[in-house]
Amino acid sequence: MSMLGLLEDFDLWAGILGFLITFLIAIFSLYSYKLSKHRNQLFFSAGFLLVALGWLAGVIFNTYTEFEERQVLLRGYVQLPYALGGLLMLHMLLIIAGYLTIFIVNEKLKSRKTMFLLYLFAVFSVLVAHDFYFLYHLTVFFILSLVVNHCAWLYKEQRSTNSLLILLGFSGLLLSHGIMMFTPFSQEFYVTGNFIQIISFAVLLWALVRIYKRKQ
Amino acid sequence: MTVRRDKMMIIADILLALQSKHLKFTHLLYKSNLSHARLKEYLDELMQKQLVVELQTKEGKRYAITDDGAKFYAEYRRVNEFVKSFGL
Repeated sequence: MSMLGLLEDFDLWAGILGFLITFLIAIFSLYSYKLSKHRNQLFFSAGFLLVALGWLAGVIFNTYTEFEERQVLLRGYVQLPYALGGLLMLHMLLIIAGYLTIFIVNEKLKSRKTMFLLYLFAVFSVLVAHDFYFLYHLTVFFILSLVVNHCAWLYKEQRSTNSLLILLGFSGLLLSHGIMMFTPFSQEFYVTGNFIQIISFAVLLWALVRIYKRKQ
Repeated sequence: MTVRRDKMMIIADILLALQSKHLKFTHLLYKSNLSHARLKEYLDELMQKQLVVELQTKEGKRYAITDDGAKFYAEYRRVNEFVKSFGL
C-alpha cells in the first residue's frame, strides 16, 4: 500500500478529532457561561457547537463516500445523491457559520446588520462552494485568519503557554485550509492539509487539558 | 486602568481570602475591598449556599470556607483560565 493509501483516512480522523475537540470547547464554554452568566461565553459555545456539528456532518459524509470519490469531488463539480450532497453542504455551512460566530464574539461585534450580512455571506459561499469546493476552504481560510489575528493579539498581551497553544492550534487550522485550497492540483495537498489539521486539533486538546488540570 | 469586578470576581476574592485561614468580618472587609453592607449581603448568600460557614470561637465570630466552597473556587479558577486563554 502506498504512503498516500495509508494516509487516505486522515480526513475521517481529522473530522472525528475535530468534532471531539470543538465539542469539548463548546461544553467548557457553556459551563463557564453557567457560572458567570456572561452572554459572550454562551455565543462562543454556540459557535464551537456549530463547528462540532459541522465536523459530525463531515464525518458522516466521509463514512458514506470512498476516498477516490471525495478526490473527484474536490477537483470539481460532481452530481451527488441528494442526501450526500445535503450532508456536504450542511458540513460546510455549519463550519463557516461556527467560525464566523467565534469571530463575531472575539471582535465583540454588536451590529445586527453586520452580523446578518456576514451570515448571508456564509450561505452564499456555501451555495457557490457546492460547485467549486475550493471556495469553502478559501472562505474558512479568510475567517480563520481573522480569528488567528485575535489569538496573536491575545498571546502578545498575556504571554502564557495556553494562549500560545491556542494560537498555534488555530494557526495550524488556518494553514491546513490554505493548503487544501490547492487540492484540485494534487491530492497530496488534501492529505497534507488533513495531517496538519489533526496536529492542530491535538495542540488545541493539549491547551484544554492544561486548563482542566490547572494546579489550584 | 482598574477593572470593575463582577459578582463572580467578588465571590472569588472572598473565597480566596478565606482559603488560607478563618477570618473576622473586619479582616474580610479589608481583604475583599467591599463596604460593610455589601460584604454582609455576599456572606449571607455564600452561607445560604453553604460555601462559607460562620464559626463561634473564643475570639468571637469567624468565617471559614467549606469543602463545597473550596471546590467552587477551584472550578472558578479553571473556568477563569479558560476564559482568559480564549480572550472571552
